Amino acid sequence: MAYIELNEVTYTYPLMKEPALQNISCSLELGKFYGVIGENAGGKTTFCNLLRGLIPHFYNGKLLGDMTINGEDIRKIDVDILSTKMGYIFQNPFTQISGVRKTVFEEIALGLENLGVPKAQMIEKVIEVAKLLKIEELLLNDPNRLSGGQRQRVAFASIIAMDSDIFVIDEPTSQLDPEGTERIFEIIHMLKEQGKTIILVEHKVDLIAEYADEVLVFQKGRLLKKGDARTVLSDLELLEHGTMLPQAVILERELRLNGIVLPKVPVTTEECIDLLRKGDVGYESN
Amino acid sequence: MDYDFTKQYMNPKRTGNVIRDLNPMSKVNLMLVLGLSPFIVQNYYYGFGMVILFVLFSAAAGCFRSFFSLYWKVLLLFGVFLFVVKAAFAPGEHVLFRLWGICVSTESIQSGLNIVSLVLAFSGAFILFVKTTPMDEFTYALEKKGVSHMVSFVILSSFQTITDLKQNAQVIMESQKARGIETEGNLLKRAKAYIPVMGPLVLNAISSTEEKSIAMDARAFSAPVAHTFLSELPEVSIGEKAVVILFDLAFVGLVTGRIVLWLI
Amino acid sequence: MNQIELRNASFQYPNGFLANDDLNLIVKRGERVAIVGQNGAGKTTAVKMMNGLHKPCKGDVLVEGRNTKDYTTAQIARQVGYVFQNPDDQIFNQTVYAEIAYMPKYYKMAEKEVDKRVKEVAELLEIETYLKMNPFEIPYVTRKFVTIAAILATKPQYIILDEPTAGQDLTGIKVLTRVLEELEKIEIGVVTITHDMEFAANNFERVVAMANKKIIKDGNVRDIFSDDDILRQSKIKRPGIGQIADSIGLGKDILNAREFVKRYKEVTAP
Repeated sequence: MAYIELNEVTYTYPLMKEPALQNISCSLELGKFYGVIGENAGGKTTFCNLLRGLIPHFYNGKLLGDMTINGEDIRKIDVDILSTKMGYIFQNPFTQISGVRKTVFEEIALGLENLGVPKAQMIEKVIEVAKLLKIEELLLNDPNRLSGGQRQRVAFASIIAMDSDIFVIDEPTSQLDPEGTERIFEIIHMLKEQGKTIILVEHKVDLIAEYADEVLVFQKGRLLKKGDARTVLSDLELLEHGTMLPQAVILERELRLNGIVLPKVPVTTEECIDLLRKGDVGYESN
Repeated sequence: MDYDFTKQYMNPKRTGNVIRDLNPMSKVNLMLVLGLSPFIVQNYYYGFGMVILFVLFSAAAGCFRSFFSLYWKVLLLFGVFLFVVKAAFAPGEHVLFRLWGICVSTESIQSGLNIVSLVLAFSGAFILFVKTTPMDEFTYALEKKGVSHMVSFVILSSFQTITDLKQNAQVIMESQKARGIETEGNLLKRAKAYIPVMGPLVLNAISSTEEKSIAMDARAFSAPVAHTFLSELPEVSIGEKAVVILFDLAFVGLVTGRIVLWLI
Repeated sequence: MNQIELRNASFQYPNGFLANDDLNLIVKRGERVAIVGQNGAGKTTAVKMMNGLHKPCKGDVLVEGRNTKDYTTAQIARQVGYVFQNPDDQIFNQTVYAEIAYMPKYYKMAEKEVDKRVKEVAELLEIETYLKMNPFEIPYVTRKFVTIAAILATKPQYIILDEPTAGQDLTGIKVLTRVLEELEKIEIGVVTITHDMEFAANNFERVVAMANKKIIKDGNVRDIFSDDDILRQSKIKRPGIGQIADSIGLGKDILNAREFVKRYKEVTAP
């Protein structure tokens, strides 16, 4: 069952001539992991803003077409209620910390205070999430003195504590180092295990390849492709549209061009190693 | 990990210090009454008495150091300056000495002391309030009085913004130096660096405000339910209420007295 | 003396935190060096010493033979340009053109020369079409290219890039690759901090690995990525294809798909 549905949606930001999104039609289901990729300024963040109801409720501009979330028209939806259902995490680790709480513990509790959660339950929840995300050692720290990677984990904790079912996550690791990135991906992996619906914008396609059920590719404001992760990510055509493909796919192409054929196109590093180890490799002379 | 620290949230916040534990609203009330009373009394002995009282209060509240480290600057900067100006230029009959248009008289000295005592008394009350009241406790009290959640967030985050701006200014300064813009040296050179530093600072502040409001929206800031509080303050005790009312009555008395005197 | 030299250079922040401990490093004009390592390893502090933003508390930093202690950062910046990670900390002009022209004008160059330089660097970074636009109308990652162009327009002898690939798509990375090649041709030294190991492997022969305030290895990119111990200490991973090669026993020194195929053929050849 489609939960979010877009039909011919076109959106133009205020003061802009060109639309940021053009004729987008697609539907998203609950419980799936959607990877969103594509060239820069292709419309990925605008798509997130739309899902979160920030368009049209926070950004004005011109919105054409129809969009519904759980059957409700996006234009009429109560964003205050929507914000309690849909968790949102984005790039900048610095602007996501409220800056008004003295400890990480209190920072994570902030969203729960806003939701009116009783105190005992609130404390329990914060501890639970801190354990889950392995940030217990940060709980008594000043949120304003954390590193970017630590802040991003606190941002995740703060949103996860609010028990949303849907997570819209926009390039959460673009400002982090490899270790910080890995820890964020562990968290995202955990959300997937819990059966949450995830919409993740990410340049690191290898990570998308590992987790996503479906992939959406945006280019110049249009939805270039949408389909199951394997099909989309092994589509070499994407390279011509400024979109990187997983390393395994790049390797498979190079092998094939040299007459070495794998039984199928691997999209993750693991899968590629597996195929090569099994030695199930064909040769073509060319 | 030991979660004992979470027990503190189950009880209202108390420090054990009588002055600190006053409700922020009581503190505001007392600050206004005590800080403004010298304006009514109009006697610099009283004003300076208040100044001493505030210093004593700060010591009793255990924040003498942080209080005085700020207060002495006000004392020196405004106090001395105002006194000198008043003493030198205010008119008076009992001239003590004259020098190039400066005329110091008993009256001008008195008027200098008067104004200084007023300014110091009020700023003392204000600084004492700030130093004994954590901002989040103040906004908590405001919210309990029915002020909107948004307002209290704006108050709190504007304090944070000042720190953020400072840090960002530092980075921008480095960034502009690194491209070759001179920020050290004479006034002219520094003036030239003004726009390259202020430009990005203002633009960043605007864009981060936008991002912040989106981030806070994601934390259900405007969720249509009654909020709960992780840290709470104790209910105001009857004794505390009585003390505040007593001070308020005394203040009303002073004002009435002043008006009566003025009418006669 | 056509080089930047860190000579036993250490740096301590005013709060007492030691961020760099006894670094020795020489970067010559026309050379490309990638600095890799975990956050907090001291990479940014090290490059800030190279252009005088930080002056060493012990040891010396010499830029073309001149000690950075004797000059202001702005003076050194004419030789060593530094592009910060966040373009928004740098951009303040109304148009992309004015932003790039700002420093050449600041140095009082003739109008014609300024115009020539702006067009040159804009072409190099493929931002010619944006010249008349307000920098804030163009995407964030493109603004990064504007700041690189603004530094290159001053014709420095060296340029420092802090995470140039962060957030870039394939097209952006291709532009950066070409920029690096062009800079090598005109003998400009490049020092890049990067977390992107594919980018480092494909574009840099020399890699400096840092961990815990020190340089733990300075050498050929292949030597660094084939040294498990160095990778562990600096908490970096070899490029994805290198990981695949290592896992199936093709060796630890593979950097890209082409090398992989070559080795694979050698190993499996009948």
